[in-house]
Amino acid sequence: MKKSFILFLSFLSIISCTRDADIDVPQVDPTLSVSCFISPEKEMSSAAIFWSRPVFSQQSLPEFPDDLTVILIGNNTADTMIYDPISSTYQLPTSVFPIMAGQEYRLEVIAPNGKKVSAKTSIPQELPIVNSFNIEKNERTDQNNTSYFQYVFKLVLGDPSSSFNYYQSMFYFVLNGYTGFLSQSFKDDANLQNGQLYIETEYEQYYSGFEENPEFEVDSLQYIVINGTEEYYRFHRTLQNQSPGDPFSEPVIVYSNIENGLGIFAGYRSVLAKVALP
Amino acid sequence: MSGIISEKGSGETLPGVSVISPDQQTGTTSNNYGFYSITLKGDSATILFRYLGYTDQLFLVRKEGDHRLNIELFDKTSELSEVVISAEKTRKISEETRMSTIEIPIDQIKKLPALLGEKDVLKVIQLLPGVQKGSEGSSGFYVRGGGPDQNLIILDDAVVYNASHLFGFFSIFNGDALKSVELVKGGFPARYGGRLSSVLEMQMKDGNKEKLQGEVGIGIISSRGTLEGPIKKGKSSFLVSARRTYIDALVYPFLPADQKSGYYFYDFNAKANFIINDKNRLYVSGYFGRDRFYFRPDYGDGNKERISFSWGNATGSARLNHIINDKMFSNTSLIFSNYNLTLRLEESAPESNDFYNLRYRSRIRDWTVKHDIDWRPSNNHYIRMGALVQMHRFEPSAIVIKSSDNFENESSQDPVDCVENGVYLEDDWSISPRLKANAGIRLSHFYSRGKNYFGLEPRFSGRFMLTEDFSIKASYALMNQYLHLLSNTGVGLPTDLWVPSTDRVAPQRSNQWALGFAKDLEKPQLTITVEGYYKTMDRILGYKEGASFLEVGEFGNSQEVSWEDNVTAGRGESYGAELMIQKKFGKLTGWVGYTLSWTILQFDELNNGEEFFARYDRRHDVSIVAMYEVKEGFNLSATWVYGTGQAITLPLANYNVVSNNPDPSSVTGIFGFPGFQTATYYGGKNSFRMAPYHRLDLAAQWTKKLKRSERTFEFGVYNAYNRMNPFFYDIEQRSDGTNKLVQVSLFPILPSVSWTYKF
Repeated sequence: MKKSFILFLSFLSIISCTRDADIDVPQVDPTLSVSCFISPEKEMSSAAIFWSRPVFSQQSLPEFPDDLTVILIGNNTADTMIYDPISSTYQLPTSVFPIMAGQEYRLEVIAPNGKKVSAKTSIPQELPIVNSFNIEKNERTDQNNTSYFQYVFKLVLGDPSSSFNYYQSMFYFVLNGYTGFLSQSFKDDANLQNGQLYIETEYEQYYSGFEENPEFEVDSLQYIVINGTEEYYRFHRTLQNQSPGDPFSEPVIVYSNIENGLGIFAGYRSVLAKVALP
Repeated sequence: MSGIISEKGSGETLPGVSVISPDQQTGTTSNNYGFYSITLKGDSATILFRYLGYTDQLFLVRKEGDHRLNIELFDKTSELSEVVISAEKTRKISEETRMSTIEIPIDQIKKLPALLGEKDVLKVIQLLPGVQKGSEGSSGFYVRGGGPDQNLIILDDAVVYNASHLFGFFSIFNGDALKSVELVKGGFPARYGGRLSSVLEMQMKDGNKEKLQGEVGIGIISSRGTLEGPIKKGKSSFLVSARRTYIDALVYPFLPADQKSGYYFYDFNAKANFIINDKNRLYVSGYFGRDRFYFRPDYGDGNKERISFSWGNATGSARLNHIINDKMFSNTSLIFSNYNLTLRLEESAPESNDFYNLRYRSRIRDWTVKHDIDWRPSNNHYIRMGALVQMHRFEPSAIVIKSSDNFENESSQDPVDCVENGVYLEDDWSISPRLKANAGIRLSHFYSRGKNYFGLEPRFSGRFMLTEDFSIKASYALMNQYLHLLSNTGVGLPTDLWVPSTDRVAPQRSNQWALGFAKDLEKPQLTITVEGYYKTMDRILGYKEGASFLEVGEFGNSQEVSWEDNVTAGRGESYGAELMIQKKFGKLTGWVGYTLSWTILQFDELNNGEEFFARYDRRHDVSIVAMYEVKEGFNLSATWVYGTGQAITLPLANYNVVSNNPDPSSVTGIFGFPGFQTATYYGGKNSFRMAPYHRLDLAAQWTKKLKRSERTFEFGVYNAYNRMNPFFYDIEQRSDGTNKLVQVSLFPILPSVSWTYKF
């Protein structure tokens, strides 16, 4: 299909003419973009913070600012997140500033030029409930008559409470102690069937050659299920929907809950498990 | 009294003719098939037949005489007859019950200037208040905030799904084959259903029953021809009309061998009608049109590449008129409509025996049976009732791929068969000489994938005469729409996909209220209408952010993407005011239209759930249309349009964000977050306005009458003051690293000539 639209664009280019637009373009100042996710299950609360780059303005600020004041505020307590030059993020260990389920938190970021952005979030009360996780193994043959194993992962989640929940399920293969991302799925309670959520994904592994190099054979799978806040869910869904390669798609407005800024500050709960492949 | 009103000399039936009894102060109009019925009191009465562009006829009828009176009206340009009397008054817009309805005379369409001289019904529709055009040159139109899929476009009772040629620059309707065009923007009578925002009803000419006549036209990009005449004189007739573009043929010899490509479109209209007897008439008509784009390069290495992309409509209808008695008329129709799009891609390398073939197809096909009855029990009531059964078959996309590496696959989303039914009853009721109302009810039903939807749709419109030529009008209409058009290009591409309501996708619904005034002025002879409207639209459908037709059913994705997964439902509201001042008579004719409007949409899954302006939201829309007859055979015409710029989404800033990575053991990337990526800040969906659109078009027509024929030469100028209107904007990075907004414009000043010969 894409070829035909390239032809259509070619047609337009023949009959069209291009010149500078004689219209005022909106000028925006650089603003702070915050990405901060907090959870009781994390050892470290981290915030990645950047200055945005206006499209039509010459103004520019360091893209990776290390001179910001970043304060994490909880119930009657507050602490400053410290810049870590190795990860280029602002950090605060949860052992120093605990993140508690059911609590509300606020993040404030103040720049030396006086710009201030803030956001608030809460931590979901309950951990995700994994009712079952099964792996189905099938032997398949591709169009080149090469055999491979197809693994179908079936995850069934329970509904922990009467509140509306938002889930992210992430699957990783495990190889020599490292994990590699396979796929993810976003579902909310609108997808409940008989009080449960059904998530399915596939992994294909070609098995020829592993006799000589067993270290490259994936032997287990890791999944992480996240019960996030609504803002966590909306941010990730909109970010995932960005498809810059498709000129005809509707532009995606990436969700933000940062006041006077961009990005996300969101809390979540998570469970993690490793399962050996059959 | 009842009968059929037709044109003297051709036998063409005339819809919308005023039939008035001046002495009894009563009247009616002829229906779409020229049938009228009027109830008269006493032993004798006079009847006046009046129609724009035709001379009036007055008859004295007696009770004991024949109650059937078939009338032939004289075109004002033909010779006058002894029975003709001069017109005293014209049909008054203030007296009509219906509001938000505009008839476009075909001769006006032919007089107005047009892009490259191609006369286009839809481009004239765009000049009316309450109707917004899409992008530059596009024939798509938006009525009172509704999307292009919310317009019901009917040609001889058959629904036309894609009304455009050449990626939307021209419409498929050939003015030579049309008899009447009417646009309904609101206050919909119950007989119409299935779309939320407008009904554009067109009727093809019947064909001349008396003599053979024809018309040939030659233009810059196309030529056309029409032939009509009697099959059996006075009893039956035929009409055939065809048009084809020939840019491909002209350009082909000059293209390099490795760039052989071309584009053309053609239309073919045909109609035949038969007067079976005094009570029965049969009409059979059809339309077939196609666009084709092809690319056949020859690289000189023996390898072959062939790409063809074609789309088109086919419609057909057979209609039987039956006069049941002097007060009742019925019409039974069997209608077919088909729209399909095909893409073929063939690549082969004979030396290596490699080949790759791809075929993509999407299609919608309808079969409809319809029965309508017009009943005039008295002059105070005009009752219409009817029913229709419509079978839809949707094939949203089907792809077949075959290649030399034994890769053969077929991917198609199962066809969806749906049934759409409707029954209606409406009455045009003269409650008193000052108060008249059209009230009706329509029950609609739609069945798709085991799911039934029902809709009860009340309709009302009424007028109250404040003075003899000044009335206040009001209307309300509830509409349901069971079909949806998925489009995110806004340029009317043929890939815009028609899809049905299903168990997952609910029908669209609208409520529209309108209030207005209508005034007829004697001197100068003007009609003035002012209307305000408020419309809500629920469950309207759009692509999700990031989705487009390129994803719909795209082959090769192991988890086939259904269009239902790519769409989201929302709501909209539109409100505004429209002013139209029209001059229908005299040397100078035309209209001035002004629309002030707002169209706001809200989708939970778009723009973070916040409201936004529709792309076609226009705060101000102005059109001035003028036709001036300098002398007999020499006409000048001009149109000037102005519209607030389209609302678009413009990137304002780029910024980095990271997604959450809760995996403690994964290989951490930059910043410890492997999900580091760049996002774009737009400042809100459709929050930027393109530059205003304005344009002046001019045309001059010279018509010379010969002994048995006439010829017309036309010179036109499109975009006379060479306004560079933006088609779209792009961002260009300059060598100094700065970004600049650039506008792409399509049509500069474009002169055109055309020549028409009529015999």
